[in-house]
Amino acid sequence: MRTMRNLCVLLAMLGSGVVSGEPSSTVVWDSATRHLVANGDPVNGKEVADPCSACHGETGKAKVRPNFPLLAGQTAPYIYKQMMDYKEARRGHGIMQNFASSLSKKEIADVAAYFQSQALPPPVPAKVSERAARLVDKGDGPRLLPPCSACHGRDGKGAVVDVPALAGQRADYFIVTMQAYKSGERANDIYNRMRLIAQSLSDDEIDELAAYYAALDAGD
Amino acid sequence: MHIDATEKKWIYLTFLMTFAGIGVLAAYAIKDNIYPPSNVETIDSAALHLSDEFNEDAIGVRREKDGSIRVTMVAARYGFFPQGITVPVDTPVKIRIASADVLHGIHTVDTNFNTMVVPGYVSEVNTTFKKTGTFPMFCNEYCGLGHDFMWARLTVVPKEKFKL
Repeated sequence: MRTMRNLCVLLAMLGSGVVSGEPSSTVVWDSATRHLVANGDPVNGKEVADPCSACHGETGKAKVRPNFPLLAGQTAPYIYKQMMDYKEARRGHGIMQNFASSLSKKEIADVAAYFQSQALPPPVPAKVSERAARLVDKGDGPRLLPPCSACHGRDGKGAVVDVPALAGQRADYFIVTMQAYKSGERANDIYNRMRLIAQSLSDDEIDELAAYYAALDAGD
Repeated sequence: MHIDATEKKWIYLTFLMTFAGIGVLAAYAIKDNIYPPSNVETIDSAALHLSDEFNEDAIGVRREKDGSIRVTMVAARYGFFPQGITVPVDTPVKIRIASADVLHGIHTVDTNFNTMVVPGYVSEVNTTFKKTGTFPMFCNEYCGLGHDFMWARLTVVPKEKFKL
């Protein structure tokens, strides 16, 4: 079973890719979409999310592979946007694209509400570098790098509209994601916003930021 | 009605200072070609990235058939896209900019390119850059915690060095 799943993951990764020349995302945060996501049903979402548990865990806290994120406590609009981007092939990952394609917008909103209703993952104690703390709080003007906290919040809980929570996110997933933005492999950020930031960061800085957010306790 | 002579002097002085101030502003506005942006054109900011004019592949600098330059930009928390633009000196430039989220502004140091960028509207500025060099552009309407970091770069090059 595990071998089959690993094979599926490998095939999915090989098959991933985003068509260039197309918009990086087709999600529009109009009032209808905001209303749909804000009123997601976590009870139905739990049922719909049953297949997700194999990789993400029942409550979104399973650490299976470096490129499988922790979903517990993630903001619903962010999950909704990512799932829609998978559905519309704006973000590449065969398995996720298949799952997302089989769901309606309402079901995706319900799944998003379910994972958002879980508590954020517990922090993993780590030594936090001064450089990472400075980037999070103050950014770096000469490199046109805004502070991470400007969008993701000082507590790392994410923000409106679709900025993800980072507090407690596993460090290896953080690094995989930032490297994917840096190389352009992941390109579903409108107007290159995260790609420009990731390209300005050194690999060491990305590693240190990953440790910073894994260790961040968002509190209640 | 009796007005004391000293009071009258101060009233005249106040009027004089007010009109002198307006005169100085008008003189600078005429000399430097500064005018309030008057373009009123609406656009759906939420779907800006899907619009014909402001989608990700369409933004940037291009040359029009009449030889003038057209710049299309987007302001979004917290940056201007594209982050750097290059235009030729002494050439008419039409700059069109729209916001993808909240209220922004764009001001370019040492030039008359300065406009608010209001969500739901397209801001348009027609200008000609007279000096070559690199000029910082920044957001001058508070837009959130990353406002201080909302900078971009305008490079004005000699006509013969301008390439698209």
